[in-house]
Amino acid sequence: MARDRRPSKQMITLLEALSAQAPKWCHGYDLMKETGLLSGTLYPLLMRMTEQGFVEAEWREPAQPGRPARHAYRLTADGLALARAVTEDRPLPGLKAFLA
Amino acid sequence: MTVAVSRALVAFAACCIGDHRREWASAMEAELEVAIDDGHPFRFALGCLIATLREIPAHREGRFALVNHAVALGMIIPIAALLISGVLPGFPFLSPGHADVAGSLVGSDGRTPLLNAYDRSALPALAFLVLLLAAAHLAVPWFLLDRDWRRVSIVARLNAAATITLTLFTGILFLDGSYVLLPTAGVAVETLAIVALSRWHSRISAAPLER
Repeated sequence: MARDRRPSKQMITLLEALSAQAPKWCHGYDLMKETGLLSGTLYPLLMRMTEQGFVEAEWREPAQPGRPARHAYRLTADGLALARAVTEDRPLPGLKAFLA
Repeated sequence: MTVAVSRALVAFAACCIGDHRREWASAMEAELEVAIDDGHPFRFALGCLIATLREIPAHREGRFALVNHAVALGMIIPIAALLISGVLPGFPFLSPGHADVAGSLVGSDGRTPLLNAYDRSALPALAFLVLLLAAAHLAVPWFLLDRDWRRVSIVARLNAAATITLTLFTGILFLDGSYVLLPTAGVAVETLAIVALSRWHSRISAAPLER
């Protein structure tokens, strides 16, 4: 029997932060500050959400010269649908694969 | 100081993360610069390291890296240490009544009355060969962790050749194969481990996207 598992509190926090910024790109450190998640929690979440297609990532040119390019993230259409479902407490599209 | 330690932590995390997550390591390194500007690099770096270590067993390349490190550091280096410690009390191994390492290297057999002068003259060369074998064993983990299979293969063949030479000369000179049990067992175990790791790595390289 399939269980209706809810995403973790940290994942919901991250989904909310990313959906609030959508469709803008967000950097990892800014997301840490915004969500209060530590890097040890944030990056594994981002890695999995990217692999499952909820988040897309791309390299962005640095704002200051001489700095390395930064990885930026935003929700995909699936990720936005998931964020909306979580917010409205509806069945969660595609989350089974993420939680598997 | 904190910045240097943080950079070292993130660099170490990047080394541990594996090829499939190399992009994420670069992302963490880039964000570290922002964390440094923000005044909290250590907390950020420690989190990155924890995230990386948590990810290692979750992917087959991470599992390979764990086993590779375990074999290199937990098996091959101890084999080299065992060989060196085998020479320290005196060549050949497993026989308590022989000269110590200095005695072996200058050709003294200490307390082995059955060895004649001709046999004793081979002791320095054989002891030196064992030390070379130990040194070669110490080179294997380096190449193994680099996944440089060509060099691993070269050193493994040299080790096998040295062990065969050791076995032949020890057998002829001392008429007892038990003296070379230790180096032979060491090379055999090492070779089996290298072959298994090499095959495993080939499978991972052939299908890099599978978990």
